[in-house]
Amino acid sequence: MNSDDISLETEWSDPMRKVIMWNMVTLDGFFEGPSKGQIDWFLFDDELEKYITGSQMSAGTLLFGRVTYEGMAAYWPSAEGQLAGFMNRVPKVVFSRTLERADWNNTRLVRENVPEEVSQLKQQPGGDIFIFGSADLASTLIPHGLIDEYRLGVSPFVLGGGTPLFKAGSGRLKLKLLEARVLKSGVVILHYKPE
Amino acid sequence: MRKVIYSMFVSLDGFIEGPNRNLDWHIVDGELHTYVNDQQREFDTYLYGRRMYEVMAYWETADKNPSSPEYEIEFARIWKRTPKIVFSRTLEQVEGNVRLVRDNIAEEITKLKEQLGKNMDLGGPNIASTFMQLGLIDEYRLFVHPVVLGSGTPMFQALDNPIHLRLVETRTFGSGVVYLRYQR
Repeated sequence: MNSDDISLETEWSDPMRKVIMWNMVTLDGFFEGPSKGQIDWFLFDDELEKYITGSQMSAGTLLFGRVTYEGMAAYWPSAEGQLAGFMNRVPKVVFSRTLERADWNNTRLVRENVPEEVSQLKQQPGGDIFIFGSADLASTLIPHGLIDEYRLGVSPFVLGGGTPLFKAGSGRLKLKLLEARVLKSGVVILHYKPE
Repeated sequence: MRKVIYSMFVSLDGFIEGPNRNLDWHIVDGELHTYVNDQQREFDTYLYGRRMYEVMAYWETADKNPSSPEYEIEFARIWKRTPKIVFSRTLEQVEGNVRLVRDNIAEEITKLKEQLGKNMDLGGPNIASTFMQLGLIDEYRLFVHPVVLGSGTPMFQALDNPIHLRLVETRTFGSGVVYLRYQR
């Protein structure tokens, strides 16, 4: 291939894939709690499901850290419905040094070089890349500027304890608000991108 | 009955101060300040813990600074003349329109709520935590700033039981600050 071929390819190819973090979060900043894995405060109604399927069905890949992956892999394979079909079908990557195997349908296990792997993934053609939960993984990617959008569903709960979405000591991240949307349940969806 | 309203500027990750009690991330432009100034008409009392009072004491003299924007001077004037109650066992001295209360918070607030008057604005996460444990807060107002701070002073401390609130109002400002108002 000569340089002319490369520039033609760039003209025709899609813009670089976006990595988008999506999480339900409480007023006190937890994405699960008060105990580990507890998410009964999600207020998951038709309107929220419609928002999620609408904004995420185009996802090309899902990224997980081990803890979130294990929770999802235990739940979705036996779940039913449109969202379950999507979750089970979509290509997934789990980043973990300790996970022995990743048996959930269409999952690739990556043990190291996390930022490089994600960077490479972004340069390949495909749909948006989503991260759910996975606060540890997110805290690895944020300093490298690898997360392009933050979408939070703020639920009207104060838990008083739980797992923080943004890990301590991750340093300051300045954001630009793209959209604020209010659902009937009182959940407020906030979209940001890094400034 | 009068309401106690816990209202704070807060980061997306739930801090009201950054590391080293830093407040440089606060967006205090004309649009937001004017809105906050208008909200002050609703209150006839400010309730603070010691730390928040020490931070807010800045407003005691802010109207003397000629280079301050008009909306800051207006807030300073409103703040100075509004009666304040500071809940503290350790504070020795207060200045201005301030009353010091050393204990019996539940009794004091219950009495105040039963009196005729406007709503009371509560500031400060330490005192707010005490108020929350005692079930004294009626409304929560968060001015969510478009920033993740990573660490600092949390708006909400540990609780024995989660609190389920009802969203009653929202507003988005040009700066990206989102105002969320919740009631019990």
